[in-house]
Amino acid sequence: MPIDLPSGCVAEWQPSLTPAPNRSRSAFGTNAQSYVRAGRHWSFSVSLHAMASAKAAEWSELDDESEAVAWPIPQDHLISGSEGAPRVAGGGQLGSTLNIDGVTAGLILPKDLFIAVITGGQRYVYRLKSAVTVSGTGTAALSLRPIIRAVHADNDVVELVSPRVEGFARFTGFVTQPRRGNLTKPTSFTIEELG
Amino acid sequence: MDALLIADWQRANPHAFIALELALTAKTLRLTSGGVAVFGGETYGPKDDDYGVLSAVGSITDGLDGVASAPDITLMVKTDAALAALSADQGAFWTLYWGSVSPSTGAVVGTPETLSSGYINTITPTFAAGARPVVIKSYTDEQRMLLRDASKGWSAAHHRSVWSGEAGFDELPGVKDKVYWRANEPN
Repeated sequence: MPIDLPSGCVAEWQPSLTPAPNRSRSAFGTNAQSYVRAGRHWSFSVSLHAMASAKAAEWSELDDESEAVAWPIPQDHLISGSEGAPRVAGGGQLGSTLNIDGVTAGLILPKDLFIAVITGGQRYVYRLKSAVTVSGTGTAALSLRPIIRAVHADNDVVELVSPRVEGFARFTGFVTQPRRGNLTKPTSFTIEELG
Repeated sequence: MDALLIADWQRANPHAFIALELALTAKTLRLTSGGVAVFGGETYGPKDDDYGVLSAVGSITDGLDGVASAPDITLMVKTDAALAALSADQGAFWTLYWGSVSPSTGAVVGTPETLSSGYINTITPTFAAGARPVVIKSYTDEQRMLLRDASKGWSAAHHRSVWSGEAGFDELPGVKDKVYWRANEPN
């Protein structure tokens, strides 16, 4: 299982889908073509603000060489409250719609919410294309991007309120400033899903 | 090429995949370049716990005389056991497909195009910074068709093997071969 990174200390974060679509333009610059590779996934660029070295120590697993890391996607501004026990409703779903159940009835899942599905011990992050309100029986049909890229099994765990993105981080380390009370400089890392 | 697939390529943003089917002794490996594709009653996934992921497919060249396509296939193998199994499976048959999926349903559009097929010849593990790719060199039926051997040919010996006692070719050493498409000029 991946190493969980702490929350907080984030100055900025930016999600992007990777790989980018294969776009080509004619030599005249007047025509364009594009195709998308199935299996696109998310990459997050995260900037951390300056922090005390003791706080920075909590992030030291960022450059761990043995395990993937899992970073909590900060989306408190979009959703809060109890999600219930969301699970995938039916195995082998493909395309851009994922049916889930076990969710708190009436919960509103806003557009652009990130969710994570845990299959085979690995998280797969998706983003909601449109808002959805959970039904009275706790079911919902989520419209996702990118399209589903793994065979999720029935009753796989879904993280709605506090999803984590899991992957290997690219991180150059903290710069500690002894003459400023060992405060670290602002830094950044990138975490890309495993696939 | 499948008409539905052609129509899909003409859309604004088709979702493309490459799929590899490799019939090993231990298991039939079915990998995609990314995502999940279900066709021919089989499910192709993005990775295998032992054999890893499909990393690269060499260029598939065609059209020159005497040249047959035999693309290299590169896997990022995860376990040593899988590497050993691959190298012990010389002659295992593989097929490469090129297709697209519908982004709304995830269903494969029409029938994926069969790009190439062949057999494992040699396995070459290589070691590089941050990667351990395994290159599969192959031979293909196309190459076999271009082989020049003594079994069948425009020769007196082969002619006699088909029509025993028919000596018509014995005195014709200089019969001019027709040069078929992709065959070399006779020496």
